[in-house]
Amino acid sequence: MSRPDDDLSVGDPRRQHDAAALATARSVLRELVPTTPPRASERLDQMLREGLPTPPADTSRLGAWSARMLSRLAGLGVAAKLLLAAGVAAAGVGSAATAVELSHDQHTKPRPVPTTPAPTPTSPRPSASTVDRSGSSTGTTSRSSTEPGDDSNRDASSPRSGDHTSGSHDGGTSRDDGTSSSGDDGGSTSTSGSDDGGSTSTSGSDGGSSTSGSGDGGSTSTSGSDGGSSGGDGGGSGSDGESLSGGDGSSGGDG
Amino acid sequence: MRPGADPRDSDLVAAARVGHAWALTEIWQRHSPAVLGYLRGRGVPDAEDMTSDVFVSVFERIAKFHGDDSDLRAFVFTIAHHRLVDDVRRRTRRGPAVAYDADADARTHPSAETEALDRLTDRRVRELLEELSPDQREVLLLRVIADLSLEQTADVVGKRVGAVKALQHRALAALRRLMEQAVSL
Repeated sequence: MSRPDDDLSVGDPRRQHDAAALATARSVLRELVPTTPPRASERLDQMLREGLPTPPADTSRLGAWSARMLSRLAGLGVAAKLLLAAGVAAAGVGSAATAVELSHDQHTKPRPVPTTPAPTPTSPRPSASTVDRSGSSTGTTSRSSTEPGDDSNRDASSPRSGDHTSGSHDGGTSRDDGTSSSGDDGGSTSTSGSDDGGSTSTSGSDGGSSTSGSGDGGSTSTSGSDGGSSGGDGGGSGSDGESLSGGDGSSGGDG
Repeated sequence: MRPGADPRDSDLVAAARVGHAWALTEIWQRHSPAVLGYLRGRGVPDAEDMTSDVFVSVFERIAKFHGDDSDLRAFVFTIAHHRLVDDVRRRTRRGPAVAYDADADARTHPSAETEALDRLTDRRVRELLEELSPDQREVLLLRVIADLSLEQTADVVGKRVGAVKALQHRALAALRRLMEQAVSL
C-alpha cells in the first residue's frame, strides 16, 4: 500500500492527523476496488491469449531505415509532400535531359579521347604544365587542349564573348580572363578566321583553350573539335577543328 | 519459462516483451482491479471497458517501458489518467449520456434495505468523492488506490509535489468532514 510516511512526519500533529485520515480514506476507498479482475474486452482477451507480437530479430538495418523514412514521409504534410515530389521530378527531368544530350553527342560525333599533347618540335607551343593556371603567364600561352571539359559549360554567347580576340589575348591575369578568352574564341576566331579551335567551338570553351595560337598546329584543332562536339552546333558544320572557317566559330558563338 | 509464484513486475515486463502471454495475464490480474477502482472513483460510467482499453494501451507500449516495479504501476496509472482525461473531453463535447437508473430516480422512495445496502456499496463512496474537487479526488485516488508516491502522483497529474501535498491535505480534511456529517445523519 501507500507509504504514509513519505510526506507525513511523525512530529507534526497536522500530518499525524493526515496519516490517520489517509488510513480512514484507504479503508473507505477500498470499496471501489474489486477483488477480482474485471472482464476483459475482446481485443484485450486476444492479447492475453496470444501475447505480444515479437518483432523479427533479423530485421536489416536497411529495412529499418526504409521503414523509418516511410513513416517520416507519411508524417509530412501535403504541402511538404508536393514540394518533395516537385523536387524529385525536377531532378529526374534534369538527369534525363543530360542523358539524352550525352547520348546525342556520342551518336553524332564520337568524342575524342583527350590526350596530353607532348611538346614536340613541330609544336613549340608551351603545354599547360608550364602554364600557371591562374593566368599569370603572359603572352599567348593559354590552357592547353588537354583540358577540354573545363569550360565546356561556358556560354559562348555570353556578353563577354567577343571581348577578346584570339591570339591577341594578353594572357589575362586571372583564370577567368583565360576562360573568357576561350569563350571568346567562338566569336573571336570568327573574326580572325585563323584560330583553329575557337572557330569550331560552339561552347566557346575549348576553343578558348586554343585561342592563343592563331592557326597553329593540329593539337589546337583537336581542341577545337572537342569544343565543337560539346557545343553540338558547331559540330554539325562538319568543319570543326580542321576547318579554319570563321563560320564555325560564329556558330559556336551562337551556341 | 515462467518464474516463481510471485514474479516481480520487472520480470513480467521482460517476459511480456518476448511474447509470453502469461506475463500479460499476470500484469492484468495484478493491476487491473486498482485501475478499475480508480476509474470508478472518477465516475467513469463504463469503467470496465475503459480498464480494458487502458491495458491494451499499456501492453502496446510496454516495449518502451523502462523502470522498476513501482514504475510499472505509475506507468499504468499514467495511461489510465490520460485515457480518463480524453474520455472527459469527449463526453464534454458530446454531452453526458445518462441511462435510466431506478435507484437514482428521486421520484421513488428507496426501501430501508436498499438504503442500508447503499451504505455498504461503492455508491456511497463515490458520493463522498463527488463532494471533492476534481483535483482533490484525483490526488486522493492516485495516492490511496493506485498506491503511488507523492512524486509519482505529481508526475501523473502534472503538478509539483508541493501542490500534490496541499491537495491531499485538503482532500483528506474534506473527506473526514463529510464522513462525520454522514455519521451524524
